[in-house]
Amino acid sequence: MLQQDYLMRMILQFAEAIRLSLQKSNGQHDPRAAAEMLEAAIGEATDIDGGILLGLAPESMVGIMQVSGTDPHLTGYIAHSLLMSSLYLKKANEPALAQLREKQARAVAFAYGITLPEVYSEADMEAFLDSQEEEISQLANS
Amino acid sequence: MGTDVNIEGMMFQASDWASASAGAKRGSLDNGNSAHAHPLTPQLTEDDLALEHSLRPRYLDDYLGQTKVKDSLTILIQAAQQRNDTLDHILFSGPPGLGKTTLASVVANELGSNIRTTSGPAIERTGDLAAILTNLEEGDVLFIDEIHRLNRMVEEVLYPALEDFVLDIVVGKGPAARSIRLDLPHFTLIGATTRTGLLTGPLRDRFGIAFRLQYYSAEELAAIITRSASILGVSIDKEGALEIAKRGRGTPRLANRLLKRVRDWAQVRGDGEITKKVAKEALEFFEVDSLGLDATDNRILEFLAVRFGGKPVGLSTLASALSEDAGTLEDVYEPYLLQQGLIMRTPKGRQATERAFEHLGIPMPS
Repeated sequence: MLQQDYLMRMILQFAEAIRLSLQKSNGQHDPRAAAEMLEAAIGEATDIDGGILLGLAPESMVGIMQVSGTDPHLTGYIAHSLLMSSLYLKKANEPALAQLREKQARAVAFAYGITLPEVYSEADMEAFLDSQEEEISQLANS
Repeated sequence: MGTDVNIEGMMFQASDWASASAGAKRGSLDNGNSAHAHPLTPQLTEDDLALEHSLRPRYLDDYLGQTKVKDSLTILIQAAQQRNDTLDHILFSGPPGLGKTTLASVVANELGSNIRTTSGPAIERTGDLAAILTNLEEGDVLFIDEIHRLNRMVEEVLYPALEDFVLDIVVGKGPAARSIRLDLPHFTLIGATTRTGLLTGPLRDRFGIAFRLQYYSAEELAAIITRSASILGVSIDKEGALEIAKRGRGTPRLANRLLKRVRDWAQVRGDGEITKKVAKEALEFFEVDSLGLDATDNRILEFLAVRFGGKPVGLSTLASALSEDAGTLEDVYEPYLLQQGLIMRTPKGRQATERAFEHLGIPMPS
């Protein structure tokens, strides 16, 4: 029960961070801050220092997530957030870091069997959040 | 208890790290326009970077000077290759411009490995080092310039990476925190430092091989200048090369820089060919004296010999009097003056020697 509550809280925090990052990027035109917000959420969700985790090579990052037992309910959020962060970083004119985030996103997706579109947009993130709503309510009722 | 994770070698290139490293390198460059910098300016200039890149030897056979270091490296590299093992971590120390970076890339070329270059101050956080280490491939050479400037926290992460090729990552917080061990590809770290004394004992102990690079003899420098001149397409005779070499302060970087300035002078004031006469006139024009001392060196000698009457002077007093940074005096100017026997270190401070008085052409106080 405690584990379930913890997971619910994590998912809700993640969803909130994603929504806020969308506002940061679109409303306040600050894509760098939006990316940082998502990256902090990833660090929280994995319980690993985000500065270290997100600096790792994609395969190493996935290895650490697997060994540390990152909950599978969160991996979809992580993969989508990494790809979204990549989008923001491209807007913030940081192509190298954007490329790293995209590779990390795809490595996470590959390892956990998550399907990600080839070309990503904010609409894809919104669609992902919508698709998760049903799962969240199932989790809340279980 | 940590868990081992076996991760295959990475194909991904951490370009953010590369750009950070490039930024750090740029950060250490002389800010002034190198075209106007004095030829004996000890700092690395933009001009030097381009010049050094084109003149750098690629293999040990092309490398001139540092014979003992070269011979030792040849054996160590061959032994590692015969065992199909990675080369032990190497530390190169010595004054700036003696070829520490060049030797690192020569070692990588001899091993047939990729070299990843960064510098101590560029690795600010442990995450930066984790990024670098996990992006290495099996057998790669990691070169950390100015390794004595590594942050202590980062150094702690480096120890297990050097000894056991693992990276410890902490997961969780507080009582729930645990460490996860990530296997790294086997690599060779090459560290370079101008200040061995600033390296911590534990870090120094983790280098299996340590070399102290020595100043080059005038003959060795002349050979380097002749080689550089041929790469640059400059005509130079043996005496011309030796004249430049004698004023090159035993340092290839400075000797190559002097060669460029003499080439410019010869092009404008002469027929482009560098002879002993041309080299001498050009270097006098650029205020590089017969011992290779520049205006700052001579000012140091004048202060010690004249203003302080040949008595010992503390480093900080001398630095204040010269409006120079004490660290710059100690690292950049002093080694060559000491090596030339122009100054000496006494318990009371720095003191001009008899040779300094002779060089300045003034009598030594009795």
